[in-house]
Amino acid sequence: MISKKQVFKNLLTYSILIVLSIFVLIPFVLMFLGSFREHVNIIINGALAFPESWSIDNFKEVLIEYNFRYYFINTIIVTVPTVILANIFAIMSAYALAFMEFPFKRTIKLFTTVVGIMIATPFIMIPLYQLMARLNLIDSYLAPILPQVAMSACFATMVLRSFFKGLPKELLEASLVDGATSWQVLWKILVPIAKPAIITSAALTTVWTWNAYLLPLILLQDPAKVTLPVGLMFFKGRYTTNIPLMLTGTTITSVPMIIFYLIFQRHLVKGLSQGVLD
Amino acid sequence: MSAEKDKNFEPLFDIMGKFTPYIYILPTLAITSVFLIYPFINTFFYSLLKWDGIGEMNFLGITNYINMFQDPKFWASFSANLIYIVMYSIIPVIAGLIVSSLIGRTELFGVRFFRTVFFLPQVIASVAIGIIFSWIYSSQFGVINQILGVIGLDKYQTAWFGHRSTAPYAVGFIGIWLTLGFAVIIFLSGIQKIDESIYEAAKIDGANSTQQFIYITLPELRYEMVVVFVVTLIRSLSTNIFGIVSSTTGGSYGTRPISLYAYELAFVQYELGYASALVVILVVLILVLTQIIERIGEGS
Repeated sequence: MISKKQVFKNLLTYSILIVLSIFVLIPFVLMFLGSFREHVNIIINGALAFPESWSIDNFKEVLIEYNFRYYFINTIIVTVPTVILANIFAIMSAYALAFMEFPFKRTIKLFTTVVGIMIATPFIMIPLYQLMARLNLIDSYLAPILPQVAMSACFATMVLRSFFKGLPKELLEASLVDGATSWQVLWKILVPIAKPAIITSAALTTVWTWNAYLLPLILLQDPAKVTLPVGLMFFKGRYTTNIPLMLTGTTITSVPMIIFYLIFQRHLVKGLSQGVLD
Repeated sequence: MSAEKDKNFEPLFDIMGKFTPYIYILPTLAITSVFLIYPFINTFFYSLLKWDGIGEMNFLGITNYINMFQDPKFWASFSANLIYIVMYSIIPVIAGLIVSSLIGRTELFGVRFFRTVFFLPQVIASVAIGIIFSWIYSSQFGVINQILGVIGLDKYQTAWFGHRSTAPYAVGFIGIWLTLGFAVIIFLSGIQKIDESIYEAAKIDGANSTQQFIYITLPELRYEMVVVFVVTLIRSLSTNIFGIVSSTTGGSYGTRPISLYAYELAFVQYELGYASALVVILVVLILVLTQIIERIGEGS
């Protein structure tokens, strides 16, 4: 028997959840539908209307004529090495911080976790530009990659260190008795066990790098080299008047991360809700 | 810290004896030192200079800071940031607490779907969000003005980004959209963790639901509140707000946050010293506010 009170409670709960879902989803629906429309139809039929046809002409135009295919490739060129390097570095540093004692460990730990995570791009943007200019790296893909690797590695070090510390020490002892070297223990025993934690940190660093705006904005000035968020802003600056084309560029920028999120959802939610503040 | 000692494995020191740990830590430490910590320290040094980035550096001492406090543009960006702190951080936390405690411990059908939806804004680039909303707010062909027209509220139609009285709040509202779902999920997962027996005991003692919320739910959600406060606070002051404002108003009509003002000073007007002083104030602001939140979270 379900009581009246419970029915009312459930009704209230689902009304809240559905209203909130609609509130969150509306901008996405508008973006997606808008990217199939024509500008003239937005003027005639208004903002809230379905596409007149599901033509992909906008996508062709934005990708080919407005260079989004290059922005897309550039974003991949920056994101993939960043994620791989950051996580390899972090696996190694988390290993040392979790299982070894050494002088200055506390200070080193502080710098490679908390301090690194705290330093946001605006905090360093001005001297970082000067540094990259001196290293002759402005307009090189390495310019946004290197600081992004550093930020991501610090975050990943924190996530992986706390995972490693949770492992039973017998695990390491047993493999060391078998005569494995420290390098083998790390890559053959710990890394396979730490796979969930590694996927979490890799998924988060992927989203951060893909979406980064300020870092590539200051370090990549050649329009042929910019990543999607910066390219999108270039585009906005020049073609603000064509709403559907702008929405198409936005769709191209965000849909890869939406798909990525749907695949790695569990890991991303976990990382964002607990990993950030360990 | 004795647990740390337990996990020290001597046989691991096999690559270069006692230097082995440094070999493992070196890549992260090196790249962090060169590309994060060194420029971070330099920001403080730059803030004491007058420098255009190319010519000679002139040492000014604290003049930049003194000038800042007399610069109306700094205070304008400071008050824009205050609005963003309220709308990105404080309102979503309060609204998220209310929503999640209304839902409470109900066994939910479709919880995965709602979680997926509520988290979705977290994976979208700030400039992409800004561009969608600049259409939603657009004066001529925008979504909001059209809805107002349809429901007969034409008199409220306005250029949302075109007045000082609306623009900062319109930008701030994006923060509510961005964070509310995130806050609800985190708080809900916190509420599910609270031991049911605490509520049962309170009910027996005659506590009503408001009292249960104030004396049980709120204190038990301390950790979750700190997480949401800190994450959203940093967003309202740092990179996220930079992207959102750049892609919506571009900083006009009282919407320019400190980070964007510092960017413009450094990369458009080549006032590197003064811009760095602004960044230092931003750092101090973020550190002080997050410390306050964490202290409150630990205490009570």
